[in-house]
Amino acid sequence: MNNELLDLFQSRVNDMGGWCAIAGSSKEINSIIEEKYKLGEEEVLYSGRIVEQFNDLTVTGTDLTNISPDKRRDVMAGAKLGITMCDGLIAETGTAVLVNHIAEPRELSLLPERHVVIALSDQLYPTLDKCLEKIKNSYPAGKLPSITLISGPSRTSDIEKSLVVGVHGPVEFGVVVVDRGK
Amino acid sequence: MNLSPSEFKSNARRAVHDQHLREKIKKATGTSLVKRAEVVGEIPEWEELRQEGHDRRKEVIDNLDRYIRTFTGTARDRGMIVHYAGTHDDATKIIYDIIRRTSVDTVVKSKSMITEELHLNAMLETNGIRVIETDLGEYIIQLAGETPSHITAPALHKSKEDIARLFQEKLNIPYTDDPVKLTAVARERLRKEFLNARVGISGVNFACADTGTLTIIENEANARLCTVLPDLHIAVMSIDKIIPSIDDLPLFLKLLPRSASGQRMTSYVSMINGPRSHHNPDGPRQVHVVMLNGGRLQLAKHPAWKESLYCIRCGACMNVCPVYQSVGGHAYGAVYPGPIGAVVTPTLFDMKEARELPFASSLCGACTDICPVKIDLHHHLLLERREIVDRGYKPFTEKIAMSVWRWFMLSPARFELAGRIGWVLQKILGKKLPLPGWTPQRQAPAIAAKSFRSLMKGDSKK
Repeated sequence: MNNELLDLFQSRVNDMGGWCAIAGSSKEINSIIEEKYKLGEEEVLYSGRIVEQFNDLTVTGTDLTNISPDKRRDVMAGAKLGITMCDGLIAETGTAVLVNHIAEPRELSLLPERHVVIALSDQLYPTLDKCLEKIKNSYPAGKLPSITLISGPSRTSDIEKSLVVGVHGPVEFGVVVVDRGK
Repeated sequence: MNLSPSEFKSNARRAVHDQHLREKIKKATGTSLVKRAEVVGEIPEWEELRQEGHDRRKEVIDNLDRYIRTFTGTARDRGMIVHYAGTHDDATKIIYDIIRRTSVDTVVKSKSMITEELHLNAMLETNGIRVIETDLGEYIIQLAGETPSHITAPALHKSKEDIARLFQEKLNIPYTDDPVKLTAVARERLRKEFLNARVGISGVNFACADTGTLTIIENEANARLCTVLPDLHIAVMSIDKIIPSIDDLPLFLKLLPRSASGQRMTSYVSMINGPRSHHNPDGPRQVHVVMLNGGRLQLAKHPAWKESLYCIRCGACMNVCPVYQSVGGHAYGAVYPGPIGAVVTPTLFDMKEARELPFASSLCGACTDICPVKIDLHHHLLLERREIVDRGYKPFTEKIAMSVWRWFMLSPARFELAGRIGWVLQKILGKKLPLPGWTPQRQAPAIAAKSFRSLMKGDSKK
C-alpha cells in the first residue's frame, strides 16, 4: 500500500468537503459509518454489489436488491444514506470513479441525502488516466457502461460566489478505504 | 438594457456607471481568478498541457467532417439516436418534435450554452412545454426572466439581496438573503420536478469520437438528475464539442475545471455511454443527441478564425478581461460575452450586428495568456477589426478621421505640423479639446510649446 498516495487522496477528499477513513478490515467499515451517522436500518441503503464483494460484511441498513424494483426510486429518494462500491479512487483530485453496475444503480449515489463509497486500497490510482485505461480495458469494445466521477458532495457558488455544500445531490460525501494490510 | 451587440456602446456606458453592478462583477471575477491561480500553480507542466489541449482541439477542427462522421457512428453503435441540425431552426424543431412525441408538458433542463444560442426555452414555451432550468444560477435568472451574464456563472450580476427579493416575490417565501437557505429552497422545489420528470435536456462538454461518450461536467448534481432519472434524455451539443478520444478526457478534465472554477475537479463528471441496455443497467431508455452545425463547419474552414472553435467554454477570459470586469456580460448583448464572445459573435453570427464587439478590448492579451487551449484571442480581435473596417461597417466619419491621421503620420514634416495645429487649437479653445468619445470622460494632455523633436534638434546643434 502506497501511503503517500493514500495521504494525498485523503487530503484531497477533505479539501472538497468530504471525509475519508481507513478500515483495517471489512468488519471495521460498519463501526466507522455508524459512528459517523448513527442511522437506523431503514434509513441506510447499500448496493447489492457490496454484498457480492464482502461476504463477511455487516452493514446496518437495507440491501437495495431486496426492495422491489418499482419502489426503489422512492426509497432511495427518502434514504438518509446510500452506500456504494467504486471502480477506482484518484489521489490527485480526491475522486471516486463509479462504473454503472447492475447491482448498483446510479441513483444510489445521487438521490439519498448522503453518499458513502467503500473502496479497496488497491483501487487507488495516482491520476485519472491510469484508472480510466484499466476500466476501458476490462470491457469489450463498445460495451463500456456509463461512468460517473464523484469528488465531494454536491455544491454551488452561484450566489455571490459563496460556497454552499449540498445542492441537488448528496449533502455529504465520504470514502471508507479498506486496507487489509493495515 | 437592449440585448443586441449593436448597442454595445450605450449598454457599456450604462453599465460602467452602475457602481453596484461593477462591484458585484469585480468580486465574482476576482474570486474566480484567485482560486484558479492556486490550482493552476500546482501543475508545473501547465504550459505543456495548454499546448496539448490546443493540439487536440486543432486536430478535431481541422478534420471536423471526419470527426462528425466517426462520432455519429460510435454514438449510434452505443444505441443513441443522433440528429444532425444544419441550422438553429432545424435544431429547435428536432428537439420540439422529440418532446412532442412523448406527450409530456414539462421538461427538466441542465445548463447548456447551445440551448441559449437556440433560444430553446422561449420556443418550447410558445408551444406549451414548460422548461425548468435546474442549475441554481440558471434557475435564478429564469425566475427573473433574464439571460446569463457569464457562461459558467449565469447569475453573477445578481447580489444575494437581489436573489432574496426575487425568491420572496416569485416563490412566496419569507425574505432571506442567506445563500444556504436560498439554495435549500431551490433544492426542495426542484427535487419534486426531478422525480416527476420524464424528459431531461442537457448540454455536452466533450463528446468522445472513439467511444461515443457524452461527458457532462458540473457541481450541483442537477445534470446527473436530468440525465439519469427521466425516461428520455436529449443531449444538445454543437459539432465542435467533439474530442478525438476518451483517452483525451483526463487532459481536458485537468484544463477545464481549473480554468473555469478554480477546482482540481468538479464534484461530478458524467460519462454517458448510451441508453439503458444489457451492459448499461440504469438510466433513460432513449438518449437523443442533437448536434448543431449553425455555421461552424464553414468557420472551421477559415484559416484564421477556425481557432475560436477550439474553445472549451471555461469563461476564464471573461474573468480576466478588464472590459468584462467593467461592463459585465449583458452589455455585450450576445449569447457569449467577454473576449471569446467578442471573437465568435461576429464570425459565427452576424459581423455587421456585432461590429462593436472586437473593439471592446484594450488588446492587453490577458485573455490569450489565460486561455487553457491557447487561443490567440487578442490577435483574433485585431484581425476581425480589420475585416469590419474592410467591409465598411464602421462609420464614414471614422474613416475620414483615420485617413487624416494617416496623412499626418506619413511624413515627419506633417507630423510636426499636426503638433503645431494642436498647440494653436489648444490656445484658442483652452484645455477642452473637443474629441468626441475621448474628452467627455478625460482631460486631453497639454501640448508643449516646443515639441520634443525641436528640442532634440536644438540639443544636437550645441
